[in-house]
Amino acid sequence: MYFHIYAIHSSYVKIFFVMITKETIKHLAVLSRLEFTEKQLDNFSHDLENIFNYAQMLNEVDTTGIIPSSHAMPLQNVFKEDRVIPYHNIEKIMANAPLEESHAFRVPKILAD
Amino acid sequence: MIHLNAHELFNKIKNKEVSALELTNAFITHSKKTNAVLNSYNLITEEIAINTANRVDKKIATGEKLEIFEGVPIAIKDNICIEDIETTCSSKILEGFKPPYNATIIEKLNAMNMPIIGKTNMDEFAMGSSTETSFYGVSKNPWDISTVPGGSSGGSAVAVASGQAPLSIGSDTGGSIRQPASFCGIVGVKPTYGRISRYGLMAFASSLDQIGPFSKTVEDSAHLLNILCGYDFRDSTSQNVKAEDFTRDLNRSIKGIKVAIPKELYNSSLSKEVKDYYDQLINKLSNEGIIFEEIELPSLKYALSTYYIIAPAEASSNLSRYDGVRYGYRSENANSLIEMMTKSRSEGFGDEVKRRILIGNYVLSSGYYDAYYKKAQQVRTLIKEDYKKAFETYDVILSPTTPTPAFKPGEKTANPLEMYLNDIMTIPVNLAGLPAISIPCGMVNNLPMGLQLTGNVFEESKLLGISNQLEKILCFKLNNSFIEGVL
Repeated sequence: MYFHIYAIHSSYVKIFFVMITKETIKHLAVLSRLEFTEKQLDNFSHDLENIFNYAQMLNEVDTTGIIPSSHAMPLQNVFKEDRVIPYHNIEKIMANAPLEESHAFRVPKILAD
Repeated sequence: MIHLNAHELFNKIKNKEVSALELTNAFITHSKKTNAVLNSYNLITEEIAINTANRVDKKIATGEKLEIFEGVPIAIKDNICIEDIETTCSSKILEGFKPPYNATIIEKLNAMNMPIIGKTNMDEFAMGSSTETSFYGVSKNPWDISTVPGGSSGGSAVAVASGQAPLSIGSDTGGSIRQPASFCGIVGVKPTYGRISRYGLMAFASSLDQIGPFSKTVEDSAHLLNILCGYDFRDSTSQNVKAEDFTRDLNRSIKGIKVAIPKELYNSSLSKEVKDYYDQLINKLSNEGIIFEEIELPSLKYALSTYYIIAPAEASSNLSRYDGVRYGYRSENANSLIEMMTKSRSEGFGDEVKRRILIGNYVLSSGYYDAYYKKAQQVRTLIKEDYKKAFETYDVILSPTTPTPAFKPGEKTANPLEMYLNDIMTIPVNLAGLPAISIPCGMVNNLPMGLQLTGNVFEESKLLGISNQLEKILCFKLNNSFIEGVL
């Protein structure tokens, strides 16, 4: 990983300056299945640096013992009966395939040469 | 006729002053004529609209009683699936995609025989506040076509404001219904999270996304919510609550209601001009017997930061499905499967979508998960608690919907953070799952401004009741001749 965090000063709250390098963006691009030009790498590292430095204000908040919310509403697992419901629209689904062969999605070879 | 509200149009059909087909044709003609300027539609669905209108006319001919809004046309944001109709999220990666099924709300609108006029333009995958990130180009604000209509549901807001449709549907993840409603001088509602099924809504940030209506009046939105809401087993976050009639409080007096104004949303982030305007507005409303109190919701200061960690995190996961394998755009320039996926995504997504995928994958990376994602989820808890406390004392919370009126294209695209700051008033509501509405309240610099009212969870009826009374006091009417002059 190529992430860098530098502490620039700390008094009663910890304020960090976050640096997002081009290397970081390159690594994230691999994780995201994206590829970028040099100019895009520059732009995105600059943008993300700005955004994460803005978000550093969250460090001011004392969240000790606070339970994280993954949702706004109290949600419980929804259980359904394990029952097969036949589906008849296969043609419609396959019609959206970029490349199709006998009801299967055709893709380039999975292993590189 | 095209500038009448949904209720007025429904009465005209019911009283046989106009047939459903004539009405639908009038809106299609106007939509086609004005779309060249406004770019509010990605697709006009003339055929399905006419089929539905014919069904209504047949019903009238046989003497069957019509239910409210049968025959009234509606426009749909292009991230909601309609069977066999191209649905793109305004993204190149979904060009040509025809869903094999209908979203739950489309089933409900079809059952109510409401002609669907078209699919409306939006920011790509609903990521944006101006429609500028759309692959199909920016929509224009009918009040001043040199300004943006807001976003992400910009096209849906333009459709209603310009008389292309009396009603439309949007989705709201951080303000994507309320902000364009405010910019375009109309009503927009984001219901409580889970009120309306998200089945068939293409996911952006699943814990924040909610479908909602645009209309010219609060009353129209209340009736449309009656049609749209309800439990759906196909959406596991759908809330199983008792159905209610959202019009029930529309005529209730608001004398003596207690309205909170959070300091965190009503402060220096507003220009002096905008602040003065709302000060004067609140004064006017105080004379109507409404009790205003300024309160502190300290965690709201952190809502924007929280949102821009949580929403991209969820988006980076949701958007991993776009890989060029099963539907949508596939790059021709690849020799292996991974290369095909990488190139399809790189060529198919726009820059804002890529930016958010990167943010999301960063905050979810091991080593950064606790510092960002978990921290944001903890602050989200504090935001929910702050609101909960406020609703123990107050009926609704009030703020401007946006810090400024509509801006010009390009004004905020150079700095993404500046664009994000436009959503500072609307974002906290999504984090807490609350219902909120934007109603038009007047003009600043000849552009409409909105008033945002937030209610407690599942208190839409009360929220709509108060909004309806405020609408009567504010008397803000769309100046149709002005809009016709622009077009």
